[in-house]
Amino acid sequence: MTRAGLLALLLAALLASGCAEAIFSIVSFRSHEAYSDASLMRFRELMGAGVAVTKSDVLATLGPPIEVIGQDEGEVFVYRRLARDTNVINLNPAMISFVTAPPLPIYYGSDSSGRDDTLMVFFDREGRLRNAGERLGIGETDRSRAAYLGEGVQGLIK
Amino acid sequence: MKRPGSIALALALAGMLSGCSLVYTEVGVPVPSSEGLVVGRTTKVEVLESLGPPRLVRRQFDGVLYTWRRTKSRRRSLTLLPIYVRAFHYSDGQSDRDDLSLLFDREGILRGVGRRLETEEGS
Repeated sequence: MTRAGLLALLLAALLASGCAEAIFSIVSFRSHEAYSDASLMRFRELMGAGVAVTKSDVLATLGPPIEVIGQDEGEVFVYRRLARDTNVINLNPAMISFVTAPPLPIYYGSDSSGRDDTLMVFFDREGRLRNAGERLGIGETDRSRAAYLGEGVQGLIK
Repeated sequence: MKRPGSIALALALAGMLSGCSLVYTEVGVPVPSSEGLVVGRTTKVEVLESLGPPRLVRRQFDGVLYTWRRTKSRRRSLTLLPIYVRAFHYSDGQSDRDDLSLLFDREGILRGVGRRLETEEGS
């Protein structure tokens, strides 16, 4: 192995050992900011009613937006919920306190998942609703091993 | 019957086998109530006098949006074998928020109210 290769391996090992200090780590984060399922349902009904919807109606239905984006044609209200999950398996002799060893991982594996539910509501310059778009990704835990494991352990602890 | 020394030793060993941590963070004061505010009548000056300054002011084409906000977050973790080799580490966190947003038109008259209470105290 060349000197540069050895250096790169050492750097990777250092980075790997810094990311997870336990052999098996599960880290989850949820933000419930934004909107509830019930308010989203009311908003869909409002949009489907066929009447003119104003910014005040949206505020009353969905509550305060998490973010407001200004565009030339009007504002965009952003509503968002977040879910982050990370699982790390790090087999590294340096983690054993009484063993003096370089931080070279025997095995390092990481599985991360970041998902969000985002609703964007577009208004014109007069504050009338023009359009809305939504993406629901938090419920897609079956596609994420990280989220599936995290929720399983959380259930066990509860 | 077990001796007190062995019980103390067992407790010390149990303490070495696991570790827990809880971290709470709170930013902002409780959001004010929107009671007494009348859409179409209450002015920006009256709101500022009764509720105090908002945390966010966002300019809109049709007016301005004032937001009062409090954020609470919690992170808890559990670590098994925290001393010799950390065998397992679990951590979960959650962030909740109370928000009150008031929409004023260009003349400073209240046009809309939005409120969301997620923290335990807020709801």
